[in-house]
Amino acid sequence: MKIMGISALYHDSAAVLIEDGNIIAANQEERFTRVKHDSSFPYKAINACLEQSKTGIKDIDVFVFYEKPYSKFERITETIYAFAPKGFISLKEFVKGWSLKKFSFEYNLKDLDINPKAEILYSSHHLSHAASAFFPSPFEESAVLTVDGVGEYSTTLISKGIKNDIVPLKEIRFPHSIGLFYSAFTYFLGFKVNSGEYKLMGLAPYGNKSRRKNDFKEKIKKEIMDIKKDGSIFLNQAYFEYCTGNKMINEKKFFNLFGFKKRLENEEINQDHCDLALAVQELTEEVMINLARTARDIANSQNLCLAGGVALNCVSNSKILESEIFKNIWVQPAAGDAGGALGAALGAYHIHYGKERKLTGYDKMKGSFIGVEFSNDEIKKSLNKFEAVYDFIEYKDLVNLTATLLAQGNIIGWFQGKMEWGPRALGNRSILADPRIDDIQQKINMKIKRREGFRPFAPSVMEEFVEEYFYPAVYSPYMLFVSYFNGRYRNILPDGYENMGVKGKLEFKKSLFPAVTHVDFSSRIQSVNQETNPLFYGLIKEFYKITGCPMILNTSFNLRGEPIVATPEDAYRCFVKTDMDYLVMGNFFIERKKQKYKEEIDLDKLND
Amino acid sequence: MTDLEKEKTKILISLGIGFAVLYVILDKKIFIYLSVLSVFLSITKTKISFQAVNYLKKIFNFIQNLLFGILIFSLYFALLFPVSFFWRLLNKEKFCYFLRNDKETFLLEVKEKINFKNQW
Ligand SMILES: [Fe+2]
Repeated sequence: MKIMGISALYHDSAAVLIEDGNIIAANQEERFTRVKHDSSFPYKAINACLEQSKTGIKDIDVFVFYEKPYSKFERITETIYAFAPKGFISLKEFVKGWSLKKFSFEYNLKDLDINPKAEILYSSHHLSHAASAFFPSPFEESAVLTVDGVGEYSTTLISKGIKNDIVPLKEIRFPHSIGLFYSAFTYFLGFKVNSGEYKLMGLAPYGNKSRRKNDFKEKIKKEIMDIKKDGSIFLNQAYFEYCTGNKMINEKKFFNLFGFKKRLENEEINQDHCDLALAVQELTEEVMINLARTARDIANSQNLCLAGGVALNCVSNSKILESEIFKNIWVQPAAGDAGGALGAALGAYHIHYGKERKLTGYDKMKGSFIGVEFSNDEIKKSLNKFEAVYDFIEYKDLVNLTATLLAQGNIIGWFQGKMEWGPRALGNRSILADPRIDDIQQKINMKIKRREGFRPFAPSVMEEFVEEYFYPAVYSPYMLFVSYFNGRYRNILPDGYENMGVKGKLEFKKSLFPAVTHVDFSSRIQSVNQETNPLFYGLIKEFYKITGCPMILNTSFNLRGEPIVATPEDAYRCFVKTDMDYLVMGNFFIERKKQKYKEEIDLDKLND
Repeated sequence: MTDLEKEKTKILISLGIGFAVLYVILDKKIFIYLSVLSVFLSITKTKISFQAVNYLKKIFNFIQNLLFGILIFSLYFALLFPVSFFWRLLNKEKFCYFLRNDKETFLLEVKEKINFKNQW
């Protein structure tokens, strides 16, 4: 039975193909349209899944949408009723954006030549998240916690997964939402809603554990978010406008409460911003831990599966892990709405059709390498199109050469095998460097990503070395947990570190691996396993042989504001546009100095 | 015809139709003049016609927004606002959940059964 799950028309659209419960292909639309967080109907991702698995659209037996459109519509109407006469602007915005294409799954499917006998199903938003977390997990039974902005009505759902079933138990409903709370402060601190939440999390460690921060926390708890013992929350709507207007917050009320204005996008970040970020992060962790405890109590399990946008908050994930409420935690790598496509498909297969779920002891994500793949022939074709100069090198030598060049301080684009599913690059669409080099973080930020970064990069560590270098030793194949560098690798902090400000703290060399160490010595690690990605593991191992360092810096292969590269063409164009020294694609080795094109390639001119 | 000219002609003709529709709805003569002007400009090739496109587009958008606003405004106050009172009366619990912090917990029991068949 072939099932295609689709998430679309809200945040990140994606398509996933499963066959008899096995994940065959999974792709996010943004990678092909090159529009970050693209929410349009994922025609390109659907095509990619079909091509990748050599399946015809007519062979698909079932199409499943990841949420229930009418329920969502009903929630919007009820919100208008609840806030009348205040909701005029939100109604206007809603009607303005309305079109059949935007709301009807079936209408969109009409553009595809699907089998008329194919069944069309609808999951629900949080059930899709829950299914994406539980069904691919290695657990036979588990508590499942899904937390995001909002689906139909739910903003948080606690359920219990048993074998091939999920039983929803308790929920928090709109407008009380941890995701929206976090997004509201993301907005107030000058970052983009739906994509800047990562920045807020990255900014938090710059906050000082000071009275100022505690003050912020008290104010938020008293005025904005009441946290109940069981992890449920009440958001005081006087401070928000997402129900009634087209903005996240009431800026005037925020100003009155915190004493400073919303930060503008290019405005410098000051200590107040950092302290507030820390306050918001700590409160989110408090809520998540309370929720985790409730989930354990009512689902009565030692395992936890997590998904939903808030589960991308690796700091809060780690806090749950450290709290030891659960013995085991598994997080869906595409925890955001793209992951809903996977959950919808798996949910339909196991719950609706009642099909058995086979356990293997491992998770079923295949290292999250389930996206599009390109053969050497295809790569060669793209390279020739750009008149690229390249060498074909056998893998054994290629790995050795790459590791040597990394050790010499070069920045290298690494494009191999199947594209990662989820927002993180895990070693198949990555930019790599030596994490021990002092200024490599700045160099990558300025010359490659073209941004002013205050967040360190992530290290990819050989799994067996995690314990030696980090505490706690977490198994984190998808970069969804943080860990701290052990004392012997840290440098001693200077007096007055707290008052050094963002720039001072950023530039101070905090450990022997400065490019991957955050200001609080934390690191968003990826533990790399030999079996799930032998080539990438082999590369790190080679680097270790040369340098004695079992980790490399790994950042996603893209420019600021662009999605991660999907095709060899994207990768080559990104490579020439930036100051990356080398590019390795499949067996092809490409040296920057030898290339004809040195800057952005104008595709129109090329085609003339 | 160049792409730019094609685009201009397309915009001006649609504007012409748009203004004509506005004339029918609002019965204001100004719109029929604007409509004729748009169609006239669409067949000339003067520089002005290119600049005029932008101005006409702006005027048209402004009027469209205004009408749209009025329409939604009336829909809102004629229909949704009155209905909201009944909704609040009939769904007191839901209404309080939105706005009143008067409970020990905001976790609710999930009542709906899982179904994959319908869109509700
Ligand atoms: Fe979601």
